[in-house]
Amino acid sequence: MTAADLPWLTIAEAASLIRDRELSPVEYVEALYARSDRLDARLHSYIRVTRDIAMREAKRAEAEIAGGTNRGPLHGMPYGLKDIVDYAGVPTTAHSRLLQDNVPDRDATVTARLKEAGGALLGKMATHEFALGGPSFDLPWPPPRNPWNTDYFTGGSSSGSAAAVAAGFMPAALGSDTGGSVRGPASLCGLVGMKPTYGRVSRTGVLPLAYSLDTVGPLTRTVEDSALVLNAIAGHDPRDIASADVTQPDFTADLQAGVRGLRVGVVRHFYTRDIEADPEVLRGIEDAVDVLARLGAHVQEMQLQPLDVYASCSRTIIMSEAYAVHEKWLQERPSDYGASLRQRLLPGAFIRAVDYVHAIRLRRQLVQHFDDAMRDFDIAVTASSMDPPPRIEDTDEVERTYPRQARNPFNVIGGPALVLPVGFTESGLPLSMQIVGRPFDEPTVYRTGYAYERETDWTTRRPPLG
Amino acid sequence: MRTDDVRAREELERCARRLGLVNLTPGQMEELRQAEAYARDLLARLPREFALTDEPAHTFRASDDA
Repeated sequence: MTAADLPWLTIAEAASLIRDRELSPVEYVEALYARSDRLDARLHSYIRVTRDIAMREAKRAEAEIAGGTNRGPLHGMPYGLKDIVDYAGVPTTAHSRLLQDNVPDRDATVTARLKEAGGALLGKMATHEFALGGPSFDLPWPPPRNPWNTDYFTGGSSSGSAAAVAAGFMPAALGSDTGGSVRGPASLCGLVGMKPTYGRVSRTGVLPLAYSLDTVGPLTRTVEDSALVLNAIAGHDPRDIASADVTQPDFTADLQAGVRGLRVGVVRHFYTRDIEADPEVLRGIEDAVDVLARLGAHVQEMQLQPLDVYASCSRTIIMSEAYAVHEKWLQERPSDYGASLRQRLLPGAFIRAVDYVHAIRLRRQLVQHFDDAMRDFDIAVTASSMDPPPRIEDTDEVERTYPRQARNPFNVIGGPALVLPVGFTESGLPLSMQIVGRPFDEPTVYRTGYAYERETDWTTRRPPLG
Repeated sequence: MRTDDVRAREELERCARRLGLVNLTPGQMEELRQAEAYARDLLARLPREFALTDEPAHTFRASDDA
């Protein structure tokens, strides 16, 4: 293996080499920084490089491993944090002028867990402002660009996390997902993105967007890596009021189980009737469904409520809760927001209490409807984005495609939803599909994604960055 | 400026004051006007047919034993 191969190691591969002392965590970190030092001026994935921290944590991991201590597969593993996640002593800016000087004195729970697992923080990653506005060109940092073609949008809001992992700057980064913000950028950048079950991963120390929908999840290049990161960050946290006190399985345990006999429901009306997907997106998903059928899954069509019902529920909740988070700043410092976020927050001022209560009553109905629909299935698959990535500076196209997605239904329902690549457009941009499970059934979601991934070579392709 | 436009602008300014949004620039007042229209459109599409006993998804529980 040459130094040029190091940025493309999966976590599973790197962990094996580190454990066997064939790869030094320090050299690994240095190789990743060498690549991002050379290329990130084109991508803008980082808000802050934490070189001193990464080197210190990598050296500690190296010493521990040399001394016979093994903390597991993330020992010595470099990673990034979306810049709404606290790391004590490092600013958490939310990519916003409002929080440029916000330095937390305590780690987020997910950060503490990654430290405990032996990770090395490479840096804080760009995001849509406060995980909602964007892409914005009027903030202190520019928006990230898509590694597959830098003229194109990464999706959001975990845009820097996605750009960095797709570019080979790091094997994993954390994002947050309230209406699709892990899965959207993962889809547009050709990655695996997991929105875990609401309550599976602590949000303590993570800036809120909408309390009743916020989740934290990993962006990685493979399904196995996603499961490895989730193993490290999941688990009950009494400091997070929404944290679920449930048994945590080993999310890698069922990866090899295959899909033979699994009952797969295809939510086809989402991308053919409710919204008509782009033909290349449609072909990617249908080909992926064929692969699952060929592997022995029992594939049948599945009906959920129309997408616009989920969208009105999700948007009403997000706007109400986000306005509550931001009301004081909107009153006192409205000009310190980027225009995009301010425009997305202000509608919350006009949502009445009764509208919000109706939305959360509707949410309960949608959850019950999904539970009923899943009685005949083990897993559901559908589209994530309905379009390939748009050009980042084509504001009209970004605005047109932004709501054309099938991600927010699974924030409303609360269960796990994984996106993974299912091919590329003729112009070389990533295509994706989404795999959805019952609440707390991440293992079956990962098992399905892994079976598909093993049959294809999409996750081995590299963006043409040089 | 037409009387209707003046009335609409005054109404929007009253609305901004009521919301405590007293530091908006003229351009941001236009954003507020668009936000109201967006919210009206969104809420028009929100289903509102529920049984009296349909409770919200997040119902407060005083304790784990409740």
